[in-house]
Amino acid sequence: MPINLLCTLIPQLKLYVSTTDISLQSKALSLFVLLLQLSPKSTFLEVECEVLEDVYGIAYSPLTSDATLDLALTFFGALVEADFQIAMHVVSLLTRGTLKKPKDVLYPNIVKCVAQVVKRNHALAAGVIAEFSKNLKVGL
Amino acid sequence: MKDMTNAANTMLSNKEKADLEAIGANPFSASMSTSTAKPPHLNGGFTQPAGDHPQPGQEWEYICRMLGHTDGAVKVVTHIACEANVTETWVNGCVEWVTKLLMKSGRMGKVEVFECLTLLLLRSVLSTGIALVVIGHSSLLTDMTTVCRSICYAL
Repeated sequence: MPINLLCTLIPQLKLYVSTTDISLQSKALSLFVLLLQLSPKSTFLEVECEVLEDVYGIAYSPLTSDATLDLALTFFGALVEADFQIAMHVVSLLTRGTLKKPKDVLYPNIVKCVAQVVKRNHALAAGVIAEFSKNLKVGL
Repeated sequence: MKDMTNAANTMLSNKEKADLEAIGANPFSASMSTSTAKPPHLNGGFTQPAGDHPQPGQEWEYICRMLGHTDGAVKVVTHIACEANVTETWVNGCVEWVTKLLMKSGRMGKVEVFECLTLLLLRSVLSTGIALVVIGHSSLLTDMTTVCRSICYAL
């Protein structure tokens, strides 16, 4: 895929990654996944700069449907496979974002996203488990 | 390219056929063959034909225009990407055209545009033989019958 085409296509697709139209949002997310799989190196940088914040928003939103969440999970998986180094960054931002608006976040969705990232990059598993196990309380 | 011609002929609407016949041009004549025809897009993109009717040899540019109703044209491109053997240049030109269609306001026809784009992106790798890897890794493709059909044809 020529880079100039990607540079034109990705900003256009980004406009559809919003909750105003769930159907088109799903289609746009599917295309991002496809681009990340087909052309990971050239797509990754554009997606990281342009789209990632919006997908965090989808992950946080209580309005996100199961189908859209599945696509978001696939998106995170494809993103981590495109560049393993972003995995820790994604986990960090996903969990940090929940602190800003705790009431507007659907925590099970965030957990699923974190799990998806860890599944695709096993090197993170020990660190993430250690971090999250701090909050476990014995006897509950 | 002959199957591409036949497919495009069957997908044109009556109005589009009438427009083309008015100027005495066969919408997709044998002149679209890969060996002799001018590429459907020059300088990496489709050119907008001058006037209301296509000039002979510019039928493809007429179909892939930006103005007016483009629903039929999207169906034609989707169908051809699915059924015919297409070149990388053609795929890239169509991706560029479909991307421009995304810029148009309104929701009408956008779902078809997204499906067309998905198919075109897949075709860009099917021709290079990486399709099996894509199929193996993408759970998204399971419900896309058109894509699976295209993959079957390509393999």
